[in-house]
Amino acid sequence: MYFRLNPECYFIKGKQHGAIYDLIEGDVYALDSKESQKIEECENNEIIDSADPFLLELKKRVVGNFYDKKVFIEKLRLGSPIADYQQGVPPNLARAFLEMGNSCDQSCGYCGYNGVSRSMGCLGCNIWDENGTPVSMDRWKELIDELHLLHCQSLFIKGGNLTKNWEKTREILEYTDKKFKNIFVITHKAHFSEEVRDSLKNKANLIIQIDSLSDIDAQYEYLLMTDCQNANDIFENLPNNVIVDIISRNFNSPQLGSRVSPNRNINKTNLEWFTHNNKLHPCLGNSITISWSGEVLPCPMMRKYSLGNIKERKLWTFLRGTPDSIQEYWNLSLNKLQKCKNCEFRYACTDCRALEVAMTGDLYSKTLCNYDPSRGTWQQADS
Amino acid sequence: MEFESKSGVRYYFDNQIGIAFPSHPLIEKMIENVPLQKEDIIAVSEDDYLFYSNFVKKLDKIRPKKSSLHQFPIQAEEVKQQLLRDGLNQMTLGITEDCNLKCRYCVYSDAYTLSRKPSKQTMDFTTAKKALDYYASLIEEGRYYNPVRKPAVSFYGGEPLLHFDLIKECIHYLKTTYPQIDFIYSLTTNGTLLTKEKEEFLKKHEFLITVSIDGPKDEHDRKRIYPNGEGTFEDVMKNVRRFIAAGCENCSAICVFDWKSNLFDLDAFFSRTDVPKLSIISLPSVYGGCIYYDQFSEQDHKEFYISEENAFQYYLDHLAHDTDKHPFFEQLYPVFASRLMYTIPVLIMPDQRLIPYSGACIPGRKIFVDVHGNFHPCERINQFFPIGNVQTGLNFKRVAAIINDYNEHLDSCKTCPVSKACGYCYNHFAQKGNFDFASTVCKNEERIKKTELSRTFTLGENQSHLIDILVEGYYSWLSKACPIEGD
Repeated sequence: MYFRLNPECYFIKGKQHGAIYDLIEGDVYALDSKESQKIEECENNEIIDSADPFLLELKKRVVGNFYDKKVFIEKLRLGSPIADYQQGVPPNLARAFLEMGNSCDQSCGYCGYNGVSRSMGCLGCNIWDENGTPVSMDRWKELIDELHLLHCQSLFIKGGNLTKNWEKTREILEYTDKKFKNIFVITHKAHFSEEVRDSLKNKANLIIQIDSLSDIDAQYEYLLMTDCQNANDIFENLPNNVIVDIISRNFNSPQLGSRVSPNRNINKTNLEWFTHNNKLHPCLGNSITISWSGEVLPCPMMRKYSLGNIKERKLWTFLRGTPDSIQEYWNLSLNKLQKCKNCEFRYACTDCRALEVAMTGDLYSKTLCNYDPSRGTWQQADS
Repeated sequence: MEFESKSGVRYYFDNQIGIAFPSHPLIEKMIENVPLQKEDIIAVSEDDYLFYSNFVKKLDKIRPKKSSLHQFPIQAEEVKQQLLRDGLNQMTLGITEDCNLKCRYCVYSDAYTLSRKPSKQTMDFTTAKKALDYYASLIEEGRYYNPVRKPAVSFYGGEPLLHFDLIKECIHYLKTTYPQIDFIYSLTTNGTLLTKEKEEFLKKHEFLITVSIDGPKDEHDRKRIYPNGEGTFEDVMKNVRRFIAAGCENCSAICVFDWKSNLFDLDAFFSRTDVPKLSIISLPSVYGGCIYYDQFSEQDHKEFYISEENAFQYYLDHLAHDTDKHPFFEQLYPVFASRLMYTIPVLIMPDQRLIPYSGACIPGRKIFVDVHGNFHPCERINQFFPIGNVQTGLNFKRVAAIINDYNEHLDSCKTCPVSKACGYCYNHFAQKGNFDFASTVCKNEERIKKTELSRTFTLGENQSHLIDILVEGYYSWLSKACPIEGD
């Protein structure tokens, strides 16, 4: 008797253990070393015991099945693997962060200006203590056109207190004229007003940065600021339209890793996410940032990683796929990080390069994780 | 659609999702919404019944929604935008209609009634220059849409080396006029005219060269001949050996075989180190008014089928423990299998495609320029589907009209159980400026695909990772040695 995983279920091997990814249901099953070895044998079409309780359990979960003869399982894929070897496939630019301002009258302690580490700083309004001259309105409009030609899907318009020059934001929103699938405008709650709400109607969605969960409105997205100590409590009963941004001045313990629960159901996954993470960085992949002064960055929080300035070059020159282009960061899949490449969860996991760089100065480091794939053990998270 | 591997395992090809999986009569009925009878259910264990029904429910979650299909007809502007983003991969200059050979299966020979015939006509530099200027202008415009495009300029014939001076002129022109564009250069040749001087030039400009070599002497000379009937093998191999010895790594072979070919001899020949690596193998096309196969008897066909089966069995038997390479068999079986499984992407988003069925590209993905400066979708399709010229550029309206006409002729694809595994394109349906209906052309397609899928899955049962490993190795090499064919 043979046992094979279904087309939609992939076995991913780690250094010690393995995991099964169900790309339709989204479940990731963590296996111990014995189970991993057994699945590896099954996937090599070796004969197995049809009464094996572990395999019977997998059949019950519709992850795999027993067969009398050797079978071939064609795996479910998104796109063709041949495309990986084709030259000239256009870049898939999914999202662009446009910092249209760099001034604010608030003095939030967690602002980028103060150099504080945050887990979701990219979605914050942030201003920066930087030299430079702002990008002109004409160049922003050209950029909108260039992003459109590149088939960019989502824009995130941000940059301190945009309402200080709300006309500028409105003009840009008018100019985008349904060219993009999604447009988000990021603002602090202190700057939210009826005028802001009305002028965004049918043009953009709002992401509002907040400090507490009071006065949440279902029609907006929120970015909730919290510190490490409160993070785990807040994740319980969190409304769907709230994303948590964890703040720490000394982000050197693995609290964020504790969000990956050490039991058999890790993060949910799906076909798109699995495919994305096979080739690209979970967060930097297919993303670009244009700073208030025109610097092209892989992420709004990675200020030291400028690829050049769009005041001097056209946007497409940053996407040529050459070593000095944005694809260098897109292609930083977890397979390329020393620790993660040995981890069986690498295609389901998330990662924040900006935080790692802020903590270690090393683009390839991985400290924010409670799992040691070389031993296959979880460490207890600080609370 | 169900099919069986050689070991008797039953599979179901799910045409909506685009993959096949081990099946059972219950799975097939559930997917096809055939009401289950009591005896269907009692024939299986409870565990199996639960597995089958839950598996089908899982698949239902990812079935593409019909409403996401593109709304026709397609407009010229859509075509232009799509090409600027994901087309313009190659401009092929058909620089001469003349050839120093008279190969028996040549698409320009009497074996194909719909194609143009050889002539002494050649392209002049003015025409070539206009074509290249236009292509460069498209590439410059297209950079805003696709910054990673690797534009290729290819030279084709007839035999392009008969007009070598034009090739030199074109390269000099491109290098001096468009130094900012990093063109890939390629050439398809019969190999008889590869002199040392030409070799030096091609090497210097890093040409990717595809030479037609059909196998060992007897096999090659049976089909690839001079007008006087003499074989070309010795001349081709003398040149190719020198070419390889001079360190020209960018040289690959394309092999055409037919019902009289000895497949084992071909495999042994292409395993030799003095023969270029195989990039593509194929049978002579059966389309374009083909009468090439009229020379063969039913017995020839039968014997070929048997020899192909024998070769497949031999390849299977030697898969696990044979360290020798089998380049021809690898092309014939796993590489073919990979094309069948992967050329049409599984779960491709239908609304992103202007052509929902078959494997056709958007004309303009490649541009073939004939000696008169007319543009055609590629070198394979007959001359009755022009898409512009060097004077006025690509005619996007005309391209849209061809696609719309083509889509209308794919009348049976909606109900075809193997449409997701289809690699057909315009060439398979093209007549004199119009298309045959799929319902006429594809009559045997279900039976053919069953055989192909059966062989593919038999291979997979024997070496489950083999196809993927070969896909990786072959396509990774092909993308460097022959990126255009890889396309």
